[in-house]
Amino acid sequence: MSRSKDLSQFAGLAGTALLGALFFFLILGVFGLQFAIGGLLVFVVGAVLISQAFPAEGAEP
Amino acid sequence: MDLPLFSASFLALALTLYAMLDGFDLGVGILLLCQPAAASRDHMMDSITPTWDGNETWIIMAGVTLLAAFPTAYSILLPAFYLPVIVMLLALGFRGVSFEFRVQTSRHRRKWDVAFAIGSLVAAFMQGLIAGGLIQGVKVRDLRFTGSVLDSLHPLPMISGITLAVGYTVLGGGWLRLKSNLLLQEFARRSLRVSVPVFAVLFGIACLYSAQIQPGVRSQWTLHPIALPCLLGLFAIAVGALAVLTERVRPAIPFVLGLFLFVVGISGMALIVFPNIVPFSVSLWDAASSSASQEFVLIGATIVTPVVLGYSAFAYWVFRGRTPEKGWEE
Amino acid sequence: MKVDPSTLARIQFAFTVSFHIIFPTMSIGLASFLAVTEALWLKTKQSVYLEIYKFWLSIFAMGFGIGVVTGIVLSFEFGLGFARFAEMAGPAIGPMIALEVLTAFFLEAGFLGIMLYGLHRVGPNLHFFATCMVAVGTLLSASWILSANSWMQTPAGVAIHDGHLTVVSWRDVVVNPSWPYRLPHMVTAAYLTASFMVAGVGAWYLLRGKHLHFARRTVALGTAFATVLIAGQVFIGDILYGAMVKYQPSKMQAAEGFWEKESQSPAPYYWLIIPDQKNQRNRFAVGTPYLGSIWLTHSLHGRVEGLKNTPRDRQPRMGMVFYAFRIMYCLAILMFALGVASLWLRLRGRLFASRWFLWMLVLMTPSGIIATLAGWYVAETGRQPWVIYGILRTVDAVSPVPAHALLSTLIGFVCVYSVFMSAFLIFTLRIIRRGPAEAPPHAEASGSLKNAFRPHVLDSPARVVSR
Repeated sequence: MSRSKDLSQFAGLAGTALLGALFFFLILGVFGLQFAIGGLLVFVVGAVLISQAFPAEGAEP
Repeated sequence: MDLPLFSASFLALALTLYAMLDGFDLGVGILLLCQPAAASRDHMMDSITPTWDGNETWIIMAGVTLLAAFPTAYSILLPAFYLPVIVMLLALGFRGVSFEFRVQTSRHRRKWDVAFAIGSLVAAFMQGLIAGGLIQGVKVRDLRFTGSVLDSLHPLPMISGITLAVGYTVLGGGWLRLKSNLLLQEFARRSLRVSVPVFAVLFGIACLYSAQIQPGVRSQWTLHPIALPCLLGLFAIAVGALAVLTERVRPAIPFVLGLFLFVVGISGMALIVFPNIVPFSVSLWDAASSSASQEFVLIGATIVTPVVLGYSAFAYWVFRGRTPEKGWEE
Repeated sequence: MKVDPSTLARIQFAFTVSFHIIFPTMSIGLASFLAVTEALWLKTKQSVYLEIYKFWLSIFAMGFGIGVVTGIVLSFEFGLGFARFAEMAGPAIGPMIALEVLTAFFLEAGFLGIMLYGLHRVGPNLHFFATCMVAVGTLLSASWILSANSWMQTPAGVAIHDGHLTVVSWRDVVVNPSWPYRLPHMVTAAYLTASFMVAGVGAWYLLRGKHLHFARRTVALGTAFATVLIAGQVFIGDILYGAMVKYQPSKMQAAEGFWEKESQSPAPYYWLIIPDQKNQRNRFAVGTPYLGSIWLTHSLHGRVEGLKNTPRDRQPRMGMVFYAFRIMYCLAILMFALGVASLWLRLRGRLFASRWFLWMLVLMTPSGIIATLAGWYVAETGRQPWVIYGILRTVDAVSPVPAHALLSTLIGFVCVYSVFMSAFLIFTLRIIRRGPAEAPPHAEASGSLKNAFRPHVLDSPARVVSR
């Protein structure tokens, strides 16, 4: 059980790392300016939405 | 439209405002050396803490106006006064950071007070040194500085340095008389009783000595046979008024008289220097940048300076009245 | 010992400007952060925001003061060390800096007193206005000075006649080709600096289990801002890179470590080189294959232009530009990674519980400052041998001041600035050790002094202010 939990955690980590690297390359303009702007917008909007929706444990008293 | 003349006027305004405003800041700093009671020192510092930064900014304004409008003069004068300017900057540095550092410690506060006081004294002395050195004359050839870095270590600049430092303590005493508690007002009164006559005597010596060693000064006196003696007369009257004042005057009078002294003194110096910007060799127009640069500065200055003066006055108004005993946290 | 005055003048300016830039970078970021915090306090009335405000206000005040006094030095140092430069460039940069003083310095200074000392003298809205004015002042200041420095990099709008510059178009001087890219880059850098400082201190408290409410709020705020900002910064950085390839090709050629006019295809991305400027080659180089083409030419097989494209007497020193750039860029990658990590941890509800992440935040506390410094070294060493790019060489710009005077003042600066930095660090660490709500409120001098001479109160760790 902990094995599969470790595995899913590792998968989440790897997936996040890959997604992060993808966004990094996108925003850097490797695929062109339009994708850079698009990638930046998606990333920022996503970050804002995640920060609002998941306000981090115990943040509110 | 004589743009260099306007720029020079703005430069003179910036220098005058600096001397008046940071003058009393530096003066209070110097007076710290004469104040043995720590609580009183705190009170003196509190009186200048909220507004010192804006006051000091006028010297940057003056320096940058010189760079923008008279770059040739800037490139001559700064190497000419290389050592005094850098010592002054380091001293002002100690003075500035001491405001913030001294409240972070109670054990070492006295050390920061000393740093503040000595920084103020050295900065004032250096500013006077530069003023005296200007009058003494800067060696220029082909619009380049050709003298030595040690040219300021001569009698006239040294006397001017001491004179200015004492002059700032007159301003500082006037400010404390206006803003501080009863204990410090007595301290301020005693300081003025010493600083005013000493300042007057030193100022007189500096004027006489400068006339003796600098032919340019003598020729300016003959060029302005009415204006300069008038200014000298006004100076003497103000000194006299300050000297004979008793306790029963409005608290602002000594401070205002001190400011008046400085305006008169600087006007006199301006008359002596004009039409040059590097006395007595480089004229305003020789050192000026092109009109495009003058215009940019002057348009900006004309529009923005009233706004600056407005909110600066507002800041003084927020901290009006006597400085609170417990500082600004109550 | 015979040292060239121009080298001493350059070392002195490099030292004073490097020291200085640390503080405005913090001030620009913290000023806006304080404005945001105060707005949150006014809006939500939660006392934690006032705690955050007061805590960072005392650190901000110290940094701002050092920034002011070290900045005054610079406005005179143009003339002190580089009189030829001041004489030539004065007509162009002088008016811009004059406007900086008029519109920004006075604004900051005028409202700083109210911001620091007026909490009990003016109403909350006026105080908030003062905080905002200080923040606006820092941004205006950044704008003008970036305009001046960008003009030195891409000097537009001037005509040269007989060694004298005349401004032909102010619009071209102020809005010169590189300014629109460099300004957002610098402002974002300042905001990132503040974000990581705030998050790092908060993370430290979380790891110690102290001031938890304060710590959670600041880590949440800091990481959220940092994540959004670093994405923007990567975007802006790449756009700026493209612009500088166009306007200052020699700088970008030096930045990547390639010598040959056209590199191999595909080009690697170099991480480590030992450049040999004399022989125009690298004695050693290590890089990731393909990545150079991908990152630098946005294609799989593009060739990168090397430094030999620039004549030898116009080449900057590759070693300095390359490594400064790598430090900045690697920190950017780290920041981006931490931003992504913070989002993932939020999704899993473990932002405050993940100890490795918190330790990374602590280590990254000064990352913004180091990255900003490194970036400025790219900008300034990459512009060499020019001080005004393409117009005036640095060695031709120095003042007629003898080497011994320059050396003695350099030593003076190092000594005095060391005192400033030591005091700043000691007091900041003390404020952090004490924690929020126990941080000494500003100008408490008179109030606490009557206790100050009682030995048991002196510098005790949990000194509570009594009234």
